[in-house]
Amino acid sequence: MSAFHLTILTPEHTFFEGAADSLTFQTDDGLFGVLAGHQPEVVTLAEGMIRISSNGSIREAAGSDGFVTILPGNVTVILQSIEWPEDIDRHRAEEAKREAEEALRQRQSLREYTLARSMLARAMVRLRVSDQNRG
Amino acid sequence: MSALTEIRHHIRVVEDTRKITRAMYLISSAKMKRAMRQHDQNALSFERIRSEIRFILESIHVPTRNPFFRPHGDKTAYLVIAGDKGLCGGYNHEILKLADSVINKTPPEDRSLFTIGHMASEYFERRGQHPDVHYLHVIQDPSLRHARAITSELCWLFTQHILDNVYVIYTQLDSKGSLHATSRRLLPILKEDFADAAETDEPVRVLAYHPSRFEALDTMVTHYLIGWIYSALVQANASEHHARMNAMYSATNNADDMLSRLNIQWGHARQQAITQELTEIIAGSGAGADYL
Repeated sequence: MSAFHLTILTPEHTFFEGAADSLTFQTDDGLFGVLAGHQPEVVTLAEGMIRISSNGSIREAAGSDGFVTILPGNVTVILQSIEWPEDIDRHRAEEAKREAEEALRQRQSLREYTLARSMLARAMVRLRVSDQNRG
Repeated sequence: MSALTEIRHHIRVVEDTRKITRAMYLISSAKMKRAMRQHDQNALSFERIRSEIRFILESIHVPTRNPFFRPHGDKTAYLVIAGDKGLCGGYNHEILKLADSVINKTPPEDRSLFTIGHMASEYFERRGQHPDVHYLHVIQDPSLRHARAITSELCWLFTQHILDNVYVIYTQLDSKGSLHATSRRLLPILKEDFADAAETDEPVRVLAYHPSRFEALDTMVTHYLIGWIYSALVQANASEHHARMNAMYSATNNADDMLSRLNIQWGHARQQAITQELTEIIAGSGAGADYL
């Protein structure tokens, strides 16, 4: 089976980059398949499963909406997020955890910043006073 | 208090301060690198989207029916992005000064103010211009999720005609490492916004669109707007850390200069004290010798 170059991009990471034999994804009116030699086309992608066949193995990932640009020998998928099934629950849980930690940390960090700032201010005052006293 | 203890004390104070500035320098440089990585990754898909949109816009000869391309009215929203914290040189000052002058060009009844970062909201509150919306916990670690939430809110207000123009005031960090406070229009989108997008390099671009080019454009525009806001957030974040890194770098250098000066002073003072003591001992022993 002849292959084409597949790139899957989200704003946060490059999910897939390499040779693929076929790509199947969801559109508003059903499944859409791409093989090497497909006519040049831009396809709107609906949320759903994205099936990638590369190097003889077939893998499925869960994707958001986006679009696919099909050019001779080159297919680019751009979407908001895409995950392998084994990462989904972990990601979701991790994100929730991170969010909670982040809210805490930023509150903490602002407090530490106020502390550091007053420490610096105190040091500055000491410097100024000792400079003045030495004339 | 003798000059010696005074100088010793002075040295300790400078050393403590230097520890703080040095740590802040290291933290900021790591955070800036991270933000730049986020920015570069986003640019990959963002520039693709821009050239695709440019291609569609150039191939259709009717005005698009996408709502975000349609200008209407004068009600203008400004989204001002500054930091949560100071101690970063002129970063907050520069952006807020620009924001102040830009915002005041719009009469108060037509304008609304959105802020990100405590420094921005505090600044405007002090001046009696209370921000209409303040986004909390965004700028210290901007994520795509924040960008999506902010974009969808702004877009909703735009399509409801509650807002007619949206400007974002933030700091750009160019490749040479200098900061530029800028005010840029997000909405409405104009065709000119894509004039500098890379032309799609493939020679044959007789493309089919599925289901239609208008639907493809709608999807791309949504992704474009999210990418735009995300890019502004990470750039502002990178700029803040860049500014803080520089400020802390020069503060650390100044502390080093001061320390070397103080050490010399301390050496002088110590020598003087020793000489003094010796003189006293010798004088004392000389005086005592008379009695022996």
